Amino acid sequence: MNRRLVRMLKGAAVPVLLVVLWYAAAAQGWLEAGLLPGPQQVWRSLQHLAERGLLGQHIRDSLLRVLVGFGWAAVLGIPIGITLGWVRPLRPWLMPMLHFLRQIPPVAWIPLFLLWFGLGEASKHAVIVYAAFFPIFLNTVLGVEQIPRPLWEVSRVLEFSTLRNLLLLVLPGSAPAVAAGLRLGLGMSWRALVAAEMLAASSGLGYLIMSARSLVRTDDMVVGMLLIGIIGLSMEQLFSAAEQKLLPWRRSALSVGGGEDTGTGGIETSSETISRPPSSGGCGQR
Amino acid sequence: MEAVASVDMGVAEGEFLAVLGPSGCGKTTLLRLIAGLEHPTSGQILFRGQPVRGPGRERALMFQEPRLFPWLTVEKNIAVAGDPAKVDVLLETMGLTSFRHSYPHELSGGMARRASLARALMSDPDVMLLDEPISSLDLAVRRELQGEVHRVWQRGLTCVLVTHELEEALVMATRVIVLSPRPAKVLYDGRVPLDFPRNRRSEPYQAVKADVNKVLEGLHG
Repeated sequence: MNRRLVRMLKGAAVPVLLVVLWYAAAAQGWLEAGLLPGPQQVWRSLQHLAERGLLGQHIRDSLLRVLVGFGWAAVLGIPIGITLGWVRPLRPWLMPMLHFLRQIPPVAWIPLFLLWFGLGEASKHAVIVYAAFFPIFLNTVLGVEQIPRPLWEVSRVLEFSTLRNLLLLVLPGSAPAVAAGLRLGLGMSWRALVAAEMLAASSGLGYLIMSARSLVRTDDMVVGMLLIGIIGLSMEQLFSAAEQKLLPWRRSALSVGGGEDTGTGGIETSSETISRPPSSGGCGQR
Repeated sequence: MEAVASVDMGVAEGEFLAVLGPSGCGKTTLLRLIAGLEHPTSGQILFRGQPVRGPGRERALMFQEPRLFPWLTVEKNIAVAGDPAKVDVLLETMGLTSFRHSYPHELSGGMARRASLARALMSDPDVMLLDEPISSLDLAVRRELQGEVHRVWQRGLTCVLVTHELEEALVMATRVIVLSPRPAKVLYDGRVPLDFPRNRRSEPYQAVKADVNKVLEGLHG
């Protein structure tokens, strides 16, 4: 418990220091408010937005979009991932195409999605689905692949049916990787959402930033950015906590060759897949 | 790759056969052939006159490692192998009742083996195939589990135990065979005409041991 507290304090130290410096710089009059407002100004702007009920509305709209899009991505990505992870002969047919699609950033699809799905919610959902699908899908494939062969032999000896294989071996065996994929996918969809809202939306946190731009309200921009970061971080923390609750065996060492866990310490952006984390990572989140 | 060259032999019902041989000689392959996990490139495996085409409930296999599902409790790990109504009795006989809600990573090596043995027994097998399931444990636990396996055999099963330890074979088996290095051939095949429990210091025991040892030493020299 104490170590957790120390870790939290360490994590908070740099942000707090930055805010203090920011505050001091603003108090000294070193900042030009048109380029970067001081923390007090940002705080006032936040209060102002909140009072008018705009802030809650933006946050609600953004979160709802992410939940719908992310939900669809999971509904598509997990079954497809399980199928391709399990039925290996399908892979040479489909994997190259999927890897090709993965290269195209979700934002690049926005113009087409706007044409196809219109200016409403559907086009934003489509961008989020696209963004979240690949990490979920790829990690699921990886998770099924990593189920130890010896356990497949147990299933053969016990003469498991396909349904039992799915329920007793494939789903729980890939669950840690699927969870990691979902966590990455959630982050991806949050980022893609903001991009989508900046290009075409009339609400949401991305829209808040873009509308602030046309009014040159730097304080509103910073409010939007800070909220995006804070909400994204909270979602990830919540997810990690749920992961630990739901997968109690996860901390145990599976006899699979461990992989590097790129899913810690915030270097996830560089990679969409993470292999099963080693049992004792000694890292922040687990 | 040829692992087992010409092993032409039968196992009688009710027998406890121990298969000895240097590591990597194809003992495990032989067991996996009987279990139906592998298919012979030539020749065949017959069980009660019928060719073995794959795994079957009548032939249970206990792997070298416990191979429990890490995401299931002990109780569920056993229950997945058959009729859940039988789980309680098996937990009781294996001394696992207080561990029924534990996950495999919370178990000691010996306890995990007991769970693995219980799971293998769920199908009420006629044959129990044992792939050195207890040799990696420390001596006290090993003795305990040898007793456990033996009690299982005494219920009327046929056992085939693969091991590289002569003592283990001689304490448990009614018949011992020794395989040569790959590709495996039968170098020795003999009964162990001694009553249970066996006295390791008795003269007849030592005589059989010396006999088999000669064959084994020939392999290493």
